Amino acid sequence: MIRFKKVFLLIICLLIITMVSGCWDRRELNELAIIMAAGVDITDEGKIELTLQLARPLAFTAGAPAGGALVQKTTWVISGAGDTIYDAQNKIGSEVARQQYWSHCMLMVFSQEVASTKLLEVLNFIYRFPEPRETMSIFVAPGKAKDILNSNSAIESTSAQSLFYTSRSKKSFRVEFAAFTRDFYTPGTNAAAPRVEELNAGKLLGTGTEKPPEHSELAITGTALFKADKFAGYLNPRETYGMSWLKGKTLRRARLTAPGLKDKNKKIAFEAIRNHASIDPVYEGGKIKFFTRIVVEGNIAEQQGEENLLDLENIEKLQESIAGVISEQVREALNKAKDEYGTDVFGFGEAFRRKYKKEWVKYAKNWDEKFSESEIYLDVDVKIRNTGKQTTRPLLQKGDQRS
Amino acid sequence: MLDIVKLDGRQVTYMLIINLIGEGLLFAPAASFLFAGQDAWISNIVALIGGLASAFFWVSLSRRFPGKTSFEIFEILFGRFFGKIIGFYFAWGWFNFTCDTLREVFSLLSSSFMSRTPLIVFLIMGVILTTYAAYSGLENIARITQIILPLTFGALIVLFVLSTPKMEFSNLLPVLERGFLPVFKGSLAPMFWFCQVIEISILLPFLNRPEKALGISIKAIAFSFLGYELVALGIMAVLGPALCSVTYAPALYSSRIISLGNVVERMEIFIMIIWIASGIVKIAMYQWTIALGSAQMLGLKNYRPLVVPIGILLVSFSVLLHPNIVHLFDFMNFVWGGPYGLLYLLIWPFLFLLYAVVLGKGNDQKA
Amino acid sequence: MIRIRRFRIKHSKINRDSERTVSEETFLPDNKSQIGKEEPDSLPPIDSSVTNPEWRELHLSGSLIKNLRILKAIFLNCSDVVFHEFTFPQNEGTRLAVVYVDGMTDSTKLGEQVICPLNGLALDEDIKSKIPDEKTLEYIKNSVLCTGEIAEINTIEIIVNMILSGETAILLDGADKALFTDIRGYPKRNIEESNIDRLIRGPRESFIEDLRTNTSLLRRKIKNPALKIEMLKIGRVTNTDVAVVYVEGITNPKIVAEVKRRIGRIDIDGILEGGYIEELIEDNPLSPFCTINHSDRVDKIAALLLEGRAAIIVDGTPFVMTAPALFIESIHNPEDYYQRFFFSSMVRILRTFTFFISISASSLFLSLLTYHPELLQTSLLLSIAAQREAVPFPSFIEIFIMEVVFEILREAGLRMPMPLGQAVSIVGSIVLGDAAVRAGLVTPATVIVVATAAIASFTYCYPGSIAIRPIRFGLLILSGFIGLPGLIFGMLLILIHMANLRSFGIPFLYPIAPLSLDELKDTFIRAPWWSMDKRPHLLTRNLFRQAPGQQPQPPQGATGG
Repeated sequence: MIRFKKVFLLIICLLIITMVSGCWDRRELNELAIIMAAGVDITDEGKIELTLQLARPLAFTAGAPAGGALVQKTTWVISGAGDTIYDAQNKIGSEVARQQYWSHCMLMVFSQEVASTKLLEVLNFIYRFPEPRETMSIFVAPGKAKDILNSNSAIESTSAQSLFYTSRSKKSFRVEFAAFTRDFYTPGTNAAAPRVEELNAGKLLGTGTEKPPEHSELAITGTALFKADKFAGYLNPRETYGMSWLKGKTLRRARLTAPGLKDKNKKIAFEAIRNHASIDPVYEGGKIKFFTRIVVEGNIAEQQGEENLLDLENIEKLQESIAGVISEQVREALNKAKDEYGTDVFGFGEAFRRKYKKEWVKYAKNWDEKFSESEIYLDVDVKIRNTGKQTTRPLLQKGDQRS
Repeated sequence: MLDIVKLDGRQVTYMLIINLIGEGLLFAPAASFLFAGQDAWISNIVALIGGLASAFFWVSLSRRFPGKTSFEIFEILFGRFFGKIIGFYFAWGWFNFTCDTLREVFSLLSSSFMSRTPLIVFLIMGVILTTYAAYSGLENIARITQIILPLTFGALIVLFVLSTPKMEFSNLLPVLERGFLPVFKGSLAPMFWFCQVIEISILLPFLNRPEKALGISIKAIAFSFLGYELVALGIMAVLGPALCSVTYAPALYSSRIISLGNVVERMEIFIMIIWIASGIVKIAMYQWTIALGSAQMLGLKNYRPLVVPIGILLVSFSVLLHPNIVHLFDFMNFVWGGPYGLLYLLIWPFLFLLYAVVLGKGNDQKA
Repeated sequence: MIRIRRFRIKHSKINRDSERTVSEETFLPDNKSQIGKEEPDSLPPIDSSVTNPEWRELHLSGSLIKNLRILKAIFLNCSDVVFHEFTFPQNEGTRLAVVYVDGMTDSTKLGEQVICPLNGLALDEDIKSKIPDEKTLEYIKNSVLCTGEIAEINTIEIIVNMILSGETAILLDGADKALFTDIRGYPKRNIEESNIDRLIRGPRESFIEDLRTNTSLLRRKIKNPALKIEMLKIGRVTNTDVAVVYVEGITNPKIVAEVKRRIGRIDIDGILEGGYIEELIEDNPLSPFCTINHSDRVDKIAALLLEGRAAIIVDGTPFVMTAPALFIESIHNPEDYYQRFFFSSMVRILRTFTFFISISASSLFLSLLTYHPELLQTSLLLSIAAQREAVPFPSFIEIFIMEVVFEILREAGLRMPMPLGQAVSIVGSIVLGDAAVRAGLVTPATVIVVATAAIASFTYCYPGSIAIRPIRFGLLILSGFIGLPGLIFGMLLILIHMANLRSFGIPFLYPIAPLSLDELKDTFIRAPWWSMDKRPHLLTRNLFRQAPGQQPQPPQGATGG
């Protein structure tokens, strides 16, 4: 026992000595350049240009800064070009005093150029490098990704946070890196990513003594569709809704407007709480049909007309009316994706593969063409659960305002 | 007998479970995913059969020679010389696998968490723990197991529950997409892990009620099977077949994806704790086994003097045996979880049992 | 049972020279003068120093003069020992001496119950002069003294010990035995509320320094002859009374025997606190964990006795030790058993949690900060990063310094003279902490984490907390060097160590490891009393503590309204 203790002490001493010489992975927070967002562009020479939005922790100090004048910029946007992302990052590293730290990178923006030429090459970095997290959001910018990162937000401290929170609120289609790569690599479906743009958001209120600065915010303006590893085209926000209904799970609190029952111009606003979609493929003699059923639950949010919502019949009619709007949106999305771009981002192929695993082998290689030939039947079922605070609106009985 | 302790049935069950799930729970699925894709859960069922067979072989063999560990049984079966040769062959197998396990547990730590820290530091730290545990004896290992195993299962269930929002069980379809052969290939790795129930042949003499050994091993395999199914189904539902097969530790990957209400996220710390703690316990148990077996074959009165040298050998061999992580995982998943491992754990015991039954060695249960 | 320990010190040269046979000539001076008129310095020197064992061999003789000379020689320069000599009224020829230690006897009792009767002040005239010499002792014992326990002792060593432990000796001419009567009375502290283990609901009394009072407190809780209190004397010089207490039929007799065996093995000059004994009898002397628990709460000790533990009471300290001690005891508090079980269970889970906080909060914070910032929330990371910008030290130094400062404050708060204590703790904790943050020397986050860990360590039992305090620094260093794997390494090392510990043969982590599902009812939770039928099975032979099926129910026929 005593001898064992001596050996044990010796080992512990050795360990301590090795450890003292080490601290290999230690990095103080004030030695880190925390990457908030990253963007990838292609330079004119065809190199990969990486743009990083780095947080400046000094500007994040809790509490109000002393005196309004000392508001500092919270981020630093810096670019570098290289053969690979890692190489580009090294280029940036020669200018940044601190070690770049990827684990808190919330979003990755690919320019449309990258998306249509080099996406396959670029994606692997996030997947392989230990630091970047798979929960980061993926975006496609029609212009330069650099410009997207080089923006400010009026409400959040960084534009990266602003965009991330916007996408996280699930008001529109969003995709995390893990889901994106899953769709990217899974046969029978294609990837899609929201499209981000910098929109003019008017003028910020200044102090009054100087000219109020022009201000622009990042906004999600639709969806970029991919076909295999190449960018295929965009869906506008309305078509994005349509795609989301079909994908069945990505929306929360989606608002849509349906025409009223009495007067088509007096609208009904509907707030979707829950939505679900199922695809049932039927294979008959080389022809593929998809029977798609979309179930949407939600509440009436606003009523412009004067329909009597206490009437169950009216509710049913309204449900149909809303279902019509939804199927219209889905149609538009399908038209764009299926007929125009010829890409299956909805997972029809996957559904087909799950049901007809033998037949799938034939179509696996060129599914997207086969998809364009298939027929899709839609069945939208809307369920109005609540009508808000009000049962029905009171009738205005004061002369001839309504006629 | 070199260690006079008695363990109760629950302790042995716990030890066997941690033996079967140890680090395997986090790594074995990768091999099944690679072959069987979304059918990995069927592979586990196939593997279960192998595990049960192995348990049956070893327990029947051990019960013909009550109070003897398998190393002693070899000597009785094949005479002193050949018995010792077979004993050393098995001791080497154990040693080799322990080295690989040690390397596996810590190489993932260094590859995905702390890439700049030299692996040897982790190895030395791990072996200090296992040596301490193995030196302090079987009873102590049993007690540690009783604390670590509930934590492991608890963390696993927490992770599973937290992953449910990200799960899409349609990922598990279609069943048997590429026929049965890939499923069978995918079952070899988990089968090897289930077959590690061989540890019962060492623990049985220390069990206070040896007649319950078979029941205990079956219970252990059943529990581990549940763990494996939980992982195989959960990870596949979260990641889908495309992402499952391209990472060494799919469990780690899927735990990185957990995000619940934007608050509960970055949960891989749980996986890290499970994997180090259960790995350490398993390695300690094996280190103890190797020391005990070697001492029995060398005719020593006490196994303790062998524990420290074996620890040092473990570190050096786990560094030397594999040049890089690719070699390590290839060896682990396709050589251990393939002919090499199954020869040790499934085919030899069958032959030994056959030999004992045919020659009528040991006391026959039915007689 | 009184144990007498003999010195085994090798005689020094001087002692060997002075070795001699004890004879009358040695002690009796030539002039044979009357007792009482002798000058003390006329006595031959008798070495009563601790290194000289000779006098212990002596026995009383029939001569009072000689006996008193021996005693006076032994108590030479012990100014507190009183020799009170007078003649026996019933027999003028018989001389008496009462020997006691001033301040250890109750002077009222001494006067009323010993001196007055012996002086014959309360006696009838006609009994006078009727007692023959040889029956005096018998007579005094049976008819004169009106005190309780009376013992007859012949050996000088025991006589000396008994006098020193406060009993009153009566020596008389012609008897070779001394009568002892116990009229001890010395200043004691009042029984007060424990300052260490505090509670809301439950008995307020706590042990004091006096052993007899302590045993009586226990006896008042467990009124049963099965509560055995066995006395031992330990300490060559201090001759400290130690009591081993157990409930016969509940405590595993092997444990009691082992406790007595280990205590019997102790050979030390003095026992001033139970801690001496604790360190001399525990199973794993090199462990930071207490494998012998201590408390000054009567109810806690009584409860532990009833669960099958043995208690060790040491005279002169209010802390009673119990063995075997289990780890789980450190998150238990007597109040858990008095409050409602939902609340108690919640509090116990909380204490388990605070146990982990106090042991690992600062090291976890450190490793997250310096090795694994990816495990922090983005906004949290940004706010901590902002705080860290101004701090000049590495996180490790910063946290380490803060831990040390908190230890200093804690120690100062404890040792500070009472009136200053509060002022200093306010200055220390608020002013110092605030100033350090304002000066940019530490981040507020560090102060919060370290302070939380420090406060958390006070929520569970104090013996558990002192085991943790040194370990924390070890973990901090480990995680400073290698991050989370280091922390896990350290925690596993502690776990293996704890699983390896035994307290009097009982695994320290019992009933968690070895796991006993039924006994988990009284670990991290507390089940209601009616469901805890069994005692911990490793501690006791007598498993069932209560009749089963005592869950109360409303009367069968009763319906609402």
